[in-house]
Amino acid sequence: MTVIRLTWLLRRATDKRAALIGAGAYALVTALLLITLGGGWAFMQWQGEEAPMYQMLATLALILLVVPLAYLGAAAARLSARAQDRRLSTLRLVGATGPQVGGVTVLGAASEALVGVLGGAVLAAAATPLVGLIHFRGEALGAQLWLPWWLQALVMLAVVVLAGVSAMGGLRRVLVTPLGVRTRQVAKVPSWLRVVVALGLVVGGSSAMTMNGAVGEAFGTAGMVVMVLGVLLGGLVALNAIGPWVLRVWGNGRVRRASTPQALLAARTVLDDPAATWRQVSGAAMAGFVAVVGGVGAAMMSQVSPEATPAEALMAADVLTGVVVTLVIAFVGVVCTTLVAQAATVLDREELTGALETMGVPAAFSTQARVGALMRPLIIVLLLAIVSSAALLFPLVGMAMIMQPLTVAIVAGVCAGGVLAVRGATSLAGRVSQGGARIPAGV
Amino acid sequence: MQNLAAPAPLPTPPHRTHATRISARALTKAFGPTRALAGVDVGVEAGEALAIMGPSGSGKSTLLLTLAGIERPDSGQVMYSPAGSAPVDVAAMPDRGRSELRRTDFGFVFQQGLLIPELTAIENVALPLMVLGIPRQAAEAEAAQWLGRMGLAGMEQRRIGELSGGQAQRVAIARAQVGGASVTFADEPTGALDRKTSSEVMDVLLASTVGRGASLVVVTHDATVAARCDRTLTMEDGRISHQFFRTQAAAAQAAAAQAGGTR
Repeated sequence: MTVIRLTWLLRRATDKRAALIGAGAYALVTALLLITLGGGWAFMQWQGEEAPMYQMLATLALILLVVPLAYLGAAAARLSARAQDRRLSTLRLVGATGPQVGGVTVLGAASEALVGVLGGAVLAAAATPLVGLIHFRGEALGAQLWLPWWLQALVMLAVVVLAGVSAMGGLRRVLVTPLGVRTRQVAKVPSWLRVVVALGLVVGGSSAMTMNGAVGEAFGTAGMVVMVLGVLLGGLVALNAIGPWVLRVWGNGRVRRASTPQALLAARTVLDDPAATWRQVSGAAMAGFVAVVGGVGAAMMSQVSPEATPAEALMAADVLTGVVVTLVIAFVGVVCTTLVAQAATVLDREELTGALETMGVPAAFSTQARVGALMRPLIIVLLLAIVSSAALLFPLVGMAMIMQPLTVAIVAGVCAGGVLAVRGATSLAGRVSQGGARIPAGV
Repeated sequence: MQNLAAPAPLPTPPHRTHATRISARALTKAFGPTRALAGVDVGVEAGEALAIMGPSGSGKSTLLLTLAGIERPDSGQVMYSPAGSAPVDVAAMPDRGRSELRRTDFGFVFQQGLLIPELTAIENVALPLMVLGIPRQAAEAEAAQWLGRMGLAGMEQRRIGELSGGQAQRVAIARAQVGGASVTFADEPTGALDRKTSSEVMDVLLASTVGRGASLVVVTHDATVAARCDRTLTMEDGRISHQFFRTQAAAAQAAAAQAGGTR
């Protein structure tokens, strides 16, 4: 009973805004998961000659969407943990035992996630009829999108359990160093070794693509597909390895060149923790990577022969639809992650921002620095992702296919739309602040 | 790396002219049913260190916020008289005007320092000058001078997390002074420090403000901090209940000034 009572008391003391945003983040994760898995479920129920191809493409899309959705879930968990840190360190300092703190941690995180998950289920239920209007195989997906009740429950339970596990993961710091919870530790410097590994993966993958024909002869179409998927996955791993290093190099240069205080703070923010900045923009990088793959795939399908059967022509159109849907879901995930992460940053720095306004520093300064610390790295990693993806695909499909108008249009459209959406989310996140000059707590 | 030659000394403070820098009359301020200020008259002279003490809820923070132009009083007047310029009614200024005044004429030192953790010490101190449009190189050169005066020469490139509490507070004081603030408002500047470090911080705070002819307004619970100021006001229930002077001479002078009506 004590743990439950403590959890309840701490819930009252919780920052309502952080709790609301955290629950909202879990709702978004749950809704996107249910809708995405619903799409995959619909594809898996199909029968017919073309069904295996659709199912393989659906599996590919789901794999590619794992990263953006995982980052959104991580952002939600991180926000929840941040809100808990202060409460729990105080609890520890006033004499609560380790098991009590552990119990409060898990209950607190899980209850916040549960509220969000239930909201997410409602959101998914409301959105599914709209998503059901999307056509594949010449007909609307409709009711096929609904997951069986037990699978929905499993997904929701998984999100709640992951929230609790995530909270436990951050608990050790509170137990060992409650006074040190607020200490800002210097981030680990991304090693140059990552660059070597990443370049190796890209060069190796590119080389492997040149042997696609030989692999196909030896292992058939399935072998070719597995190899291509493996190379693309390797490309995503390489991107994830090199991303923080690229941002650190950019940050160093930008600090030297910065002539305005906003640009200086933006560059220092990235340099302070390149991995944290990478986590915020990596979803967009993944989406950019996928955009090239999807764009090339759509361009290839659009060149279907005039002698193609109606089913083949339909599949070509469906591949284009699938590419667009996958990219939209990926970027929705990115925008949601941005919203959550930026809202957390705004809340975290509210006292400092208020102090700067007290000193007469215009409110716009903090916003411009925060936006600058996200948008420039976003564009850099998008370009990096597009170049990496094109480098891997080039041996397989050639430059002509990569530069097809349809490919370029999809990549450019997705990237431009995504950048604008992220910019909008960044501005929107600023509204969580109560703002205004003040003398921080102490008087 | 900035030039670490010996910093230029602070200008010799002029003989205290007793010119009033801030004059507040009949201030009232309520937050709902709570009367934070219930008719307060207070003046701050040029080159004076004024301490404001009182229990929680006495109105001392509200008084500080009102004098600094952060809060508008419900009624009353706050006149700021910069050297060589006409007085301005701070309470009547629009938000933008008061923000600009805080940027150009006032300095602030907070209990927790509230320095930007991503920036180095020199960048934190240079920030107010850069916000005013001064080029980065010139701003950092001036910031380096101030860090030297604070006894922090050689620490320009350190991150705030790499400084002790006392060192961080000295960086905060340098940040408050780098623009040449004529009035500095300090909220419990030594509240988070041990006694020895508190004394050192007060040394630099007084030297960098009244020591160059500027004014200092300190809100504090610490009697030893208040004892180092020229005058201490005690607040209770939104009013000034007592006034203490550090020296008898100062008390006599204040009495004479009041009798002569020169205040």
